Parts: sequence; structure tokens; C-alpha cells
Amino acid sequence: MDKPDFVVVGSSGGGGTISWLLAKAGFSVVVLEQGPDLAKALDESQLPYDPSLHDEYRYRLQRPDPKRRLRGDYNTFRKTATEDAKPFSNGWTGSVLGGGSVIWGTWSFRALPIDFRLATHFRANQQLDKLVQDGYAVSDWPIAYSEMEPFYNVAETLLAVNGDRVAVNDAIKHAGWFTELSGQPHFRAAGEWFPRFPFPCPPYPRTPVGDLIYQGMDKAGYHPVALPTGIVTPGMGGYSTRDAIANALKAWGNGQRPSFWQQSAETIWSDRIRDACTMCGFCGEYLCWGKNGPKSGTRASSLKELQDLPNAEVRTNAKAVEVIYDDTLNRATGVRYLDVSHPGNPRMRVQSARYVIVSCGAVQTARLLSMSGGSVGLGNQSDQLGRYATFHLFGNSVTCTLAESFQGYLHGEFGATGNTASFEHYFVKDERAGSPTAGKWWKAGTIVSTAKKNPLENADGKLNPYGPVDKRLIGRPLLTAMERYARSLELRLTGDDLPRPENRVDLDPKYVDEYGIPVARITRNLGPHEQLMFELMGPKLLKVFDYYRQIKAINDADIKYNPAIVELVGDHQMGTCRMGDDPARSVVDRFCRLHEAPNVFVVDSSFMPTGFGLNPMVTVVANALRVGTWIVDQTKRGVDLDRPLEPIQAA
Amino acid sequence: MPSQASGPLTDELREILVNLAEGLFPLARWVAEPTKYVPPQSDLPWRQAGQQLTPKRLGVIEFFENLLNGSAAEAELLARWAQVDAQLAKMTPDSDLGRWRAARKLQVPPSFGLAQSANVPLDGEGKPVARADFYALCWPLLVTAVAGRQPAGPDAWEALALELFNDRCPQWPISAGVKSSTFATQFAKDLLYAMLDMRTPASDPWRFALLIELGEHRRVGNAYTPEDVRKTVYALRARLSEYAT
Repeated sequence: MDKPDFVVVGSSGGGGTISWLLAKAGFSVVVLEQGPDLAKALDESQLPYDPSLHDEYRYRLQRPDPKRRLRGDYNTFRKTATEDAKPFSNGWTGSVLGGGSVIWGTWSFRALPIDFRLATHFRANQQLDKLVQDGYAVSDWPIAYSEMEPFYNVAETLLAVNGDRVAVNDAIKHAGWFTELSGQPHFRAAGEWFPRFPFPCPPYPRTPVGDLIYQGMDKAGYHPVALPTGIVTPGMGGYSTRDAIANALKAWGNGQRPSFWQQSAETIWSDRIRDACTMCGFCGEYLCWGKNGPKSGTRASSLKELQDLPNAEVRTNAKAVEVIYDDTLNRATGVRYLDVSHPGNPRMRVQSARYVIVSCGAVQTARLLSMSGGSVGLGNQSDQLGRYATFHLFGNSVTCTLAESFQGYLHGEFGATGNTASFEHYFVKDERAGSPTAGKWWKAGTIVSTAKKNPLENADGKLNPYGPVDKRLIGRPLLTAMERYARSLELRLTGDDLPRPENRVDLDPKYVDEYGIPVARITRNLGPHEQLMFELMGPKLLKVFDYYRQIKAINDADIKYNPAIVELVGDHQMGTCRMGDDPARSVVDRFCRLHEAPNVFVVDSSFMPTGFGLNPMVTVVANALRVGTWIVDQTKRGVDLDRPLEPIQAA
Repeated sequence: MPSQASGPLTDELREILVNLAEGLFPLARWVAEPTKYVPPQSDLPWRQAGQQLTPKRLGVIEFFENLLNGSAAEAELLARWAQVDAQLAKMTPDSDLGRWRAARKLQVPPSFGLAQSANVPLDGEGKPVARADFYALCWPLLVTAVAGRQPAGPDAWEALALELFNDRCPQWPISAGVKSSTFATQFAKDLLYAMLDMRTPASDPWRFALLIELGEHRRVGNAYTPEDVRKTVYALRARLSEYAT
């Protein structure tokens, strides 16, 4: 296509989803994905499953990493703006067709209503000033939960989310923070706390690791629930996305639906049936080995539908290097990209389009926009581009090892990494005697049981070539440590790191990639709120194991609390193109258009003003559906997308 | 680093590597430890009389040789990185690199930092290296160390492996460009790759032997039903209840 309506950069939850919706609505769309289609062999195979993807070395250890980043690319990292950043390996989601949605952990939460009103909440509880003093810039979202809710329903159908809605609602309802805070008017008014739309798939089977944590959480009073995951539940005869969409449309109500969603489910989606999960356990960092998409991601859903449409084209190995911007027109005119099909011999190409949609992940989107437009970058007139980067508090966990008699009992290999969850510490109270914020509830997140699934990666790490001699293991001590791994498990917090302007992604002033393109520089540190979380959450996480310590199933020496690791960034990356109504304090407007270039949209997790305390994938997919719906709605009504905002209307 | 032909392993070297592998991973001795976990399967051949679980029996050296033979792609990549590093000024998204970077207040000329990011194969000192070239540097050092040491028997090989791993082997040439720990660590990594990623040419169940002895149930091609999972949950609960009472 010479000049399609849309060129979309990136094919994950944001780019893949909106590409499908726009093409289905009749627009011409070209998708540029910088990575290859690693799962292509599945489409060509005669087998329903491809065991060659069960490869821990390839997907956990191999360098250059075949799934995370392109050959010859990297980011740099520093903790403060006064340091020189150094090249490092992290900071990537996925560089394959389907992006991070292909290799994600499948934890599928929708945000809670208060997440959209966090500044209001902290202000109402006299906590906002303290956060401002500590360098945070917590902001309300310009949209409310109610605007997202119908799109959350549809997003869950595309992702085949499994779970028990009633149990999730009950877990939230009975959490201590909800009991205490829900009496506040702004809290109740934030939105529908207890959605009625059922998850499209029944809960995933509870695994031994999930059951052990479930019982521990229950004894601790943490109201455990089956973790909702984006996987077709084992034992189902198959999954019809079309039928699930029909249910979402019914829940939306005829009078409420915008024009695109007035169509029947039969028109919207094909009759493809996705296979149920076989619980092989090579999830997360791995490509699902199932041909018909047991594990959800755009590669298994939206992009497959897109392949059926004559007005859409997907180009892999297409690395965008610039959004071409014409400042005389105040419009982007297309995207310049490198065809890296033959990486040692790249070819520069230009894809013109009427509109550009960027969805490369929060780090690479900030990099691409910084390389575009004038010398300060595209969308950066107010010096907001790249700021407020958040990555969640990864690594904040308790790791424990069961007694020797449990060898072989945990079966960490079953299914996805996470299995049992709790919302009990979405907010956590400061109960420290004498603390200046004693009695206040601060933001933590969700806690989830996590299985130890990668024995090779664990053993490889124990060799620890750069570590102190006494920490390096070989011989029988190494084999013993490998045995311990098989009876170990983790309880992990996905914690909310609150946004700070100095946590930023920009262009590294020194380093470039294989093609001479500046790499992304990530500046990130953890502030006082995060330090407080580590202090408050340690005892809360440990409490889940109290019973097992009491009966000596876990010895005290075999349990360890770990604070988050500041350099552990990548899987969840948010902020950098903050959404807001004020161009002086945000990069994109409420429909994710750049304030200063209204034919450029950003639909990955960059737009998120705050990061929640849970996996952002469902929100990213829901938001892409919302933005795509708005685009379709505007054009159906003959409204130019470049004009000032008008809300989505029911058809 | 210049490419060096490694060639096939000599018989002498192969024998050294077999013994060293057993020193690094003394599987038979570990399995024989009285407190060692005993897998529930009754028909494990290496636990039968006259059989032993050893790296050699798992075919790790055959795997290792194949790994060396297949490392040409690593060498090509390293050559590419060297070319990029030398010609960085020519690799630019803009026709005028200096102007484009200066307008953005970026350093001119830039640097290529890929090797520092651990996104390429690295030796123990963080230098980019292809596997075959790395080992080609190590072989004469290893042969010298073994000749000077003359290890005989499992105890001696286990002791030598530990010393190599910790840079405490007096027979490893002091002036060598590669530390013995760097060599031993990389060799151990490659053996783990063989034994835990189910890549060796050994037949079943030998191919999974180490995983079985570890109590790890992960296998290529695993598939389960909800009922399989329920049974394991009940088994865990039953074991826990023994502690509770």
C-alpha cells in the first residue's frame, strides 16, 4: 500500500489490537513490527503443537536474546541524572510479531476504579502534599473507569481471560483497605467496583504451588483468588472469541454501543476456535507451542483476524527510526524504517500514511518520538516526553524452600507462572509506631504465587561468574542447590512505583545501536514511597508462610524477603507519554493523540499516567479498543480526527 | 578477537573433558549420597546394579562438540560488531550524522556499546567471544594443567575441577590470557545446557536423568489434564498434613 490510512508501529496489545479494529472498520492499515515472526513455523506445521518451542536455553539464556530485542540493539541505564548511563540488557518487552503480548506472563487484571483517581484519593486523605514533597507527580487519569469498562469486557474476550469474577469481587470487597476507604465519597464515585461481566473462561486449575499459597493466604486472612490469566482454560473443548464477544456486546447494551460495536459478533470476529491449554508450563518467556493459541496475545487473536482482511498488511523486520513530521502542515506524513530482514544489510524505507499510531512499548516509543520531529523530539514541546516512566516493583518477593521431604511435590512445571492472587495489599497501611504517616494507606499492588519453572537458568546463575568466590557453586554443592530449586517457590508483589518526573526515558547522548541510531537511556530510581513499600510489605508477605513455618514444613533459614531491584525494568513499562488534558503537563490527550501533532497516536502503555499495581496488558488492549472506537466513531460522523476532541457517541 | 580454528577435539582432549565434566558434576557420587532424594520411579537404569549416572553416559561431550561446531554464527556476529564499531560514522539514520546529533545535543562521534550490554556471547571477563575461539585459547592451558597435575581417580578430578573453578590450580599457567575460572565456568555452563535442556544424544530416560534426580518434572512435550494437577495437589496436601500432625 502506497499511502494507507494508518501506519501502526508495533504489534503487541496496543498496536496489534487497534490495527485489527481499524482494518475491520474498513480503513487501510500497514503494521510495522521490528521483530520477526518467531511463531511462523506453527502456522506451517501439520502438528497441533510444536515441542521445539520447549527450549529453556533459547528463551531464557541465549544471547543475543532472540525474542526481547533486535540483534545489535540495547538500552542504557542510570539511577540518577548526574550519572553517565551504561549499556545494559534489560528494558525490553518483546521484539517479535505480537510483541510483549506473545511472551507475557498472562496475568490479566483490569485496573480498579480508584486507579483512575489516585491524585484525588491522596488529596482527599491529605497525602498528596507529602508525595509532591518527595518528588512524585501523581495524576488522575483524564478518563474514568466507566469509560473503560465496556472495553475491558471486550479486551477480556480477546485475551480469553479465565477466572472467577464473583470471587475477585469478594476478595476486593473484603480487603481491609476497601472496608476502611470505601466509605469515602470519591472512592465510591470512582466507578463500578464490582463488575458483573463474567470472565470468558472458567478459572485455571489450582496447581500445587498455587494451593500452598492459597492455604497460606487464607490462614493469613488475605482472601485469595484464582489468578485471572489470559489462557484458554485446560479442559475446555475450545474457545470461541466470537461467542465471548457476543456476551460482551449483550452486557454493553444496545443503546450504549458506538457504531463499530453495533455490528453483530458474527460480523466482528471469525469462527476460529482456539485450543485449550495443555499446561505444558513453557509460558511466560516462551512462545506458546500451541498452534491455535491457548495462550493469549495478539499473535493468536487480533493479528490472525487481520490476516483475513485485504485492506491490511503486516511487515515484520521493519524497525521504525522516525515518525516523519512536516512542521509546515503540523502533521506526520509517515514513518521511516529500516528493513532489517537481512540485518547486516539494512534498507531504509518510507511508509507514508494519513495517520501514524505508535505502540512500541514505553521505552522504545519514547526513543522513537525523541528521534522524530525537531531537535527536542516529537511531542516534547513541554519537555514531558519520556518522563514519569514506571516499571513496577519487580523482585519484591518472598522466596522460600520447603523441607527436603517435599522434593518432587511442587510441580512448578504446571501451566503459567502465577496461579493464586490476592488484592489484600492493593493499599497497605503504615502501622509503624511514631511514623509521621501512621494510619495512612499507601499504594502497593497485587500479590501472586509464582512457581520456579526454569531449572537451567537457576543453575546457570549459581555458577555466578562475576560474583564473590563464596557465592559461586560447583560440584555437589551446586547439585544440592539445584535440588533445592525444585522445592522452592515465590510470593511476588507487583507493586506500584509512583510516577516521578526524573524517572525518564530519553536518547542516550553517547551510545548508538548497530545502525547508528541513538539507544534509549533509562533513568530510574526508587523514591521514598517505594522504600516505604519494602518496609511495610516484608512482614505482610512473610505472614503467608507463618503456618508452614509453624509446622516446620519450611525452616526459618529457608525463607527470604527480597526488596525490589531497581535495574529490573522491562516487562511492565508505563508512562513516558502521559495522557492528560493539559498540553503543558502531558504528551497525549484523552484519546491518545499527541497534543502537538494530532494525527499521531500512542496506544501502548506509554499513555498511562499511573502504573496501577498489576499487569497492564488488559488495560492496554482495552484502551486500544477505546481509541480505535473513537477514531471509527469520529470518521463515521464525518469529523476530522485533527479537530478538537469530541466524545464517543452511542450509534 | 581474531578467529582461531579450533578443529575437532583430539582423543586426549576428549578424555580430559570427560573426566573434568565428572569432576565438575560428580553425579554418581551425588546420587549415592545416603540422604539424597530418591525419585519414585522404580525402573531408573542408572540406579540399577552395574550402572552409574555420569556426564559421559548422558552424552555431554558429544553435545559439546556439536556446540563448538555450530558456533560459526557467533563468529560472524562478532565480525559484524567489529565492523560496526570501526565504521560507526557511516551507519546513521541521517545523511549528516554530525548535524543530526549535534542538533539533539548528542555526543559526536557516538559509541557502540553492545558488548557492554551482555547482549552478545561474553567470556568470563565480559569480552565478546565466539565459543570455538574461546575454547581454542583454553585447550593448551588445560592440557598443560592436567599434565602437570596427573589427576587419578574421581577424588582427584573433583579436586582439580574445584581448583580450576576457583582460580586455585597451581598447574594452570600463571601468564595465561584466560583464567582457569573463566574456562571452568563456561564449560560448566555448556554442560548444564546439555543436561537440563534435554539436548544430549542420550536415549530416554537417560536424557532426563538429571531432571529426574532433581525432582524436576519439566520435559519437552509435557501435557497434562486438570485431573493430573488435582492429584498432585492432593499429594502435596497429604504430605503437609503429616507435618501438621
